[in-house]
Amino acid sequence: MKSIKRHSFGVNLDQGIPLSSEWEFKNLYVDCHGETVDELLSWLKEDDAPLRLGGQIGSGKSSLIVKAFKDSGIEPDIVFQFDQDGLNLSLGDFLRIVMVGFLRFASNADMDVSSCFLSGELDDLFGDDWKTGLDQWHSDGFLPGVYKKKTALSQRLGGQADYYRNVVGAMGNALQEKIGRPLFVFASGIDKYETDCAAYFSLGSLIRMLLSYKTLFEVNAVHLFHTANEWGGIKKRFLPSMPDERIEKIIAKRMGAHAASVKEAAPVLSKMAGGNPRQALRLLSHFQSCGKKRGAGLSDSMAFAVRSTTRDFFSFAPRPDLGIMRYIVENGKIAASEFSLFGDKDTARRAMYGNWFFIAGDGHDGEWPAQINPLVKGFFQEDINLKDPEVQALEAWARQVDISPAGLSFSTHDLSGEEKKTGEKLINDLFSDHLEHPLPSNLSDVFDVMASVLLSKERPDRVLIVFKDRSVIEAARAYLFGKANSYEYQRFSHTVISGGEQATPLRDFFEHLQEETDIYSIEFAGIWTKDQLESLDKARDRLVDRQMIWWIEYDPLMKYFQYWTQLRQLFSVFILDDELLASLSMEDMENDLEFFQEMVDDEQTSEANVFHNLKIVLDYLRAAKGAGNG
Amino acid sequence: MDRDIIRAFLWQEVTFLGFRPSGDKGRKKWLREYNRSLLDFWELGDYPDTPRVDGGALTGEIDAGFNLNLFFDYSVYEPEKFAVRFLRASNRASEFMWTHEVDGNYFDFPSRSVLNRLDERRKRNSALRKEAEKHDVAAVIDGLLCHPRTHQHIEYPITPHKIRIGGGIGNAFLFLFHLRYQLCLIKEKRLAERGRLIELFWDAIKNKSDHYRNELSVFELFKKV
Repeated sequence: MKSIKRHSFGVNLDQGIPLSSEWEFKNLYVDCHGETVDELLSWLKEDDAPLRLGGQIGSGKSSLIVKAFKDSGIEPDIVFQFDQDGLNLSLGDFLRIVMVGFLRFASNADMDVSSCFLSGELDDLFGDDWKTGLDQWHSDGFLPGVYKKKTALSQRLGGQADYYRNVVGAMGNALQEKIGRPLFVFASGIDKYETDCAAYFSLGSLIRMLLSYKTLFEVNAVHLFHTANEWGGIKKRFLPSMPDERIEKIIAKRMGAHAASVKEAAPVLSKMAGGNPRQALRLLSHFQSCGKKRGAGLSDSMAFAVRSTTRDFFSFAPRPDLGIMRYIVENGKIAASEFSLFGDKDTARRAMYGNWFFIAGDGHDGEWPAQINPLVKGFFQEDINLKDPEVQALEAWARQVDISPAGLSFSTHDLSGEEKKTGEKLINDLFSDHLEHPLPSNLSDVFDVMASVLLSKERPDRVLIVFKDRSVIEAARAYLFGKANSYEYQRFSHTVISGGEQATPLRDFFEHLQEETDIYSIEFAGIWTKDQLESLDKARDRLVDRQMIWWIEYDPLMKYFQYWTQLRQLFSVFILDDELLASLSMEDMENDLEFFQEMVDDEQTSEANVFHNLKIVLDYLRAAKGAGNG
Repeated sequence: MDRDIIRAFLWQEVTFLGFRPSGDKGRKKWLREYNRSLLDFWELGDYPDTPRVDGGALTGEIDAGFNLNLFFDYSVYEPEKFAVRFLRASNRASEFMWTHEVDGNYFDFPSRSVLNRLDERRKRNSALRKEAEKHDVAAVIDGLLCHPRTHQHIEYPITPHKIRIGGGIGNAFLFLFHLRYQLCLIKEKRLAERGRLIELFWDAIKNKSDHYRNELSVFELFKKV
């Protein structure tokens, strides 16, 4: 995986991807779950029974697990990535992942287990020597030929699932016997599956099989509360939301030598993060991106950060049950029995899976401390309570940075400097409902916010642009591609991928990712089916090292977002204003072009990319202006 | 030979090699590399926007970031005709603080002409170069960029005392480059950058032929430390 380039002393922002390198753990990691780390280390060293480690989305599970592996010096024998190697999320896919994982381990350890259990029936797929070409079955093999083979293997295994489940089970047992110790398996990616989806049901039988080994299951918090029998009675450990001061520490570490600049804002950002580190990082990124704009005041930056993060994570997401949410608002807790209801999409499990509320600590007597995610509190609370910790933190911050001369009656200017705002208005801005009416952005705003991502190959982040008017898209794309080349030569590749019953969009999607390019631009066309959307959602972590711009029309997106709880964690979402002319001026384009024109020496350069693309935009603007005049 | 004369010669040479890009294209390249280099040197989150051509000037706007709450923008017409405006980012909007403006149409002490006369060109260039030592280059780098003799401390809002804004710098590119150094808050980067610049110019001056007055490549000048 391509790693993000990090600054040694300064700012290190990203969209909240797990830490992995030694440097990152030394400089960016904050010990927030000391007791859990100790337990995990102890389990790694001394225990042979399987373990479930769970936390909500963005809680830091993956970083913590990698840290424990590094600290203990114990690496798993086999890693099954149930979210990264499947396409159709079928039982056959899951069987293939486990079988190939076992075979790879056997191959690396120079053990021959295949002949015992594969009595020729898969020779047409594996060939004469099962060791040859094992890599092609693994992970990112989405070249056309490989994809076909993988699909064929999955279908074969899925067609006789009971038989092959026994085969791979026997393989695992044989491996364990041969190495003379418990086989250490890391089953990652289960956290991406909601407990009521069909794929999770398929996964259940393999989970039961993996209970025979020393397996570490990385799960979502909902899987810890799920009482279904696939888990037996194995140990579990939960990562609750982090204390505010730890979140503040994360913010300070991410800002490095520039931490003083957010010292006053950090307590507010931390409160609005609700103890979730990824949410904190997203808030910080948006706060910074607005703050760099000349003319933006601190109150504007704070409101922008909250609105944008809410839009990224929650706009158009399916709402949880109002009764449950109001109960949490009023009581600050939730009963564990709420999580065991089946069949109802609006249950507490759905709400917890989607981070609508956070579990804040360990439970007692069947009740767990919980708080509504501060970003969506305004939707579930009748009135803003001025004694809420988020409001109080905001007020304290406003006083500190001289926004508020008198508590909540403070006033400040908006971006234009014309309209007065009251303190109440600012608080309303932060806590009002941005879910169904997320504010649109113009193209220039999109670029300003995403400049850190688009301008550099070293920040492989992702942007999702929602549009209503297709006629502006070509010019919008040219603008972003041109601007993305401002300083670095960045190749881009655009494709349209159609979903639908007869289409194979997942295959097309991952084939597109095989292209050698820097920015993957993908327009979603057709009507993607539920299965296609869910499958893509599970593939989230396969996209973390890709710089991507997705283009999706407004209407279908509202449906798509219902299935993309995971995926949208790694995207910044922008809803594009219909009117491209509103944010781009011909004069600016001409000034940019005049600057770059003389510097175009070669076609394969950033200068040429800027020039040619901005020329397209200028031509569009001229034509649009001409049409308007006509 | 008098060390002051040697350093005066080096002062000229360093200025010429790094901070007098020739032609419109050379100046555009210099400014683009300048803007590009800030993300890494200051270790910020974002690149600034690229420079533009606006009203006959090369213009750019820089967020000096974060702890300083400072923006500046520049308009360069000629190396000795330019303006840099400083703005404080406040809670409400940015407020102008001051403008550093240089108008080359007005008389100033003609140091270049005087030195050229003194120099007798090629005969003495070689001798000066032979006698120059690395600590002379270090003194010149300090005087030009890292610690200009004449400087202001902007007590508020630019509170760190280590930030010295050279009030007497009349060359646009030199002034911008010195801001790049001065507004960097990371002491390790400042230290490394000073060392790099001394080595860079020392090598360039030692290896330079009298017959060629090549500017340094902008990629070398703004190389990452």
